[in-house]
Amino acid sequence: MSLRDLGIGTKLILAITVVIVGISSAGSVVIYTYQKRSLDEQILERSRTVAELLIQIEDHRLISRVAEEFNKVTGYTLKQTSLEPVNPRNMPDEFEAMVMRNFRENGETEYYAVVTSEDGRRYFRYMKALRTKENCISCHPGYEVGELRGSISVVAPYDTITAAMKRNTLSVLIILQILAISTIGVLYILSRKIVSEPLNRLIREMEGSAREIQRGEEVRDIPVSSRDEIGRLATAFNNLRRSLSESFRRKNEAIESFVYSISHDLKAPLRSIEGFSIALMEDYGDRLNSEGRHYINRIVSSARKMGVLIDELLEYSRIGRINLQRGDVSTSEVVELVLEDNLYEINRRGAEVKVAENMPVLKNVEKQRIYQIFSNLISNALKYNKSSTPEIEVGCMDQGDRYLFYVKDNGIGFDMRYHDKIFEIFQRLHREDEYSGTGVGLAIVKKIVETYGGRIWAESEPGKGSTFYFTLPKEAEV
Amino acid sequence: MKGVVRAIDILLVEDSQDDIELTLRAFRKNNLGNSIHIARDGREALEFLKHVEEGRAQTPGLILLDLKLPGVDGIEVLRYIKSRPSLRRIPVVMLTTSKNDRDIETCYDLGANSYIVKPVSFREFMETVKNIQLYWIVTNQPPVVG
Repeated sequence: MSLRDLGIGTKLILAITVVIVGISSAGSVVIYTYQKRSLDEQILERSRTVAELLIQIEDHRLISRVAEEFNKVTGYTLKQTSLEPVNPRNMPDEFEAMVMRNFRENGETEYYAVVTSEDGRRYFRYMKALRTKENCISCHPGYEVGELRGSISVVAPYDTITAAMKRNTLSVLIILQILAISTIGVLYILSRKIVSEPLNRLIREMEGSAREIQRGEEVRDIPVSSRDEIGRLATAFNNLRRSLSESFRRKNEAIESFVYSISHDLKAPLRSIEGFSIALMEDYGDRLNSEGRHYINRIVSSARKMGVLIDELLEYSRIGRINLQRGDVSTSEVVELVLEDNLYEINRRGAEVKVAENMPVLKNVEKQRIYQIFSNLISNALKYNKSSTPEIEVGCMDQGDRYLFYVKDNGIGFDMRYHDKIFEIFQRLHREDEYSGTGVGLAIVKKIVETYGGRIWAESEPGKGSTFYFTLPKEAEV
Repeated sequence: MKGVVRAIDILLVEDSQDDIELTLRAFRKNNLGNSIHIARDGREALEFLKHVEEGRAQTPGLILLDLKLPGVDGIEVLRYIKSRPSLRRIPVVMLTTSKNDRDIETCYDLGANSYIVKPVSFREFMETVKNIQLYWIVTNQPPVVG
């Protein structure tokens, strides 16, 4: 299933999700970057301030005390250091020595960097050059004014300080995501309520309506419950439907009246042909020889056959177009009726007919059409049968939402090469004088079965009988 | 029964020559001896009926009227018959190919006495025509006309 096939509501939610997740992620990155930068500035500012403060203090012991206090409060390490320390406590470490050497050479007064120490932890290091002032010379003779005497070194535990910041940023990020997810959830519910559900309801109504139109039935308007786009869509559909069903109704009426007049206009001359032939036979038959009388009989039987053909064609054209009365139909009753109507032929042939016990009731079907199916198949099973005792078996299997029916015989069968041909209208496998018929029966059966959404097929072998299978839904759609 | 049957004339309004001949043949088979006037369209029917009103032709005791006629159609003929005091009691049997509900209603509204759809098969057609004649000439008691 591609993205394109998703519902509009789902698409909308997906788009919103992408946007919100994007925005909140980008927001988190911005917040993190901003916080980190201001934190860096804050550390630098604090280090610089305390270093400059210390420089101002002249009493060395006071310097040590201030440094101690500061360290206690901030967690920083603040100390004095010198390249030639008098006090071993002021011995520089590797970094401090390097920075001070640089101070001496390039005259800079300040340096800072984030340094990873041997234990793998990162430290923010700040160094401020301590240059000899005039009043120092009294206590520290041997220095020149401005000469580098040492440095104030500030070491801030960078990892510890930034960890708190990272924790803060992470919680902001989590809060943002929770907000995002709940927003998406609310939007999802709203989009279902506002978009998907009304739209799906509309689609279902439209589909139902379309089926009714297709069957040429009286269609009611689908309900218009709002005046938004969905409501307007429903209104537009109703208008379209009305004009469509009107034109469909007119077209269907035109077809029906055409078919009716064809059947009448074609049959009126047939009545005359048959009528005058019979009149000729009745009034002048005794003056004709047997050949003449034979010709008249041929005219009469041809006229009658054409009448039957027209009727069958009329019937064929009405399947699926003209709706007959629908309702629950017991197939066992229908088969019973077919057998009664064929009783004469069944007795004459000494046929044995077995009907399964489990013949079901079909819902919402046209009884006459179901009768036509069984009647055509059962009379075919009798007709195309040379056996001294024709055997016919009618049965049914449950296939979930549909039934599979079968009509099995021990008749003459047919070559499976002609399987498709037998269901085509006016197609026959036998000569008229072998087996009478017009070649419409199975075409009618097939059309009825397919109108109900079923399938029909047969299995046979010449001389070994045939089995006709067809499926019908348990409950036919209207 | 035949003894009590009065000599009733029948007016047959029908445009199809075949149907006229087949109808006459069916009547002959019944052997009731009615004389038949034939009108081939609505205009001829109206002309004949005016002759009847003027006393120049004998009043028919039964009218078989086709609905679909060239020119003046059966409905108009029926309307004329049922609007004329000296004609309106004559039983009128509509004999037509139309199964249209509107046609049927219109005919009864105008006072048609019967409405019969012509069977398409020859045998049924013959049976129907014979039955019409037997019913309306023998079984039915007509009003005294003319």
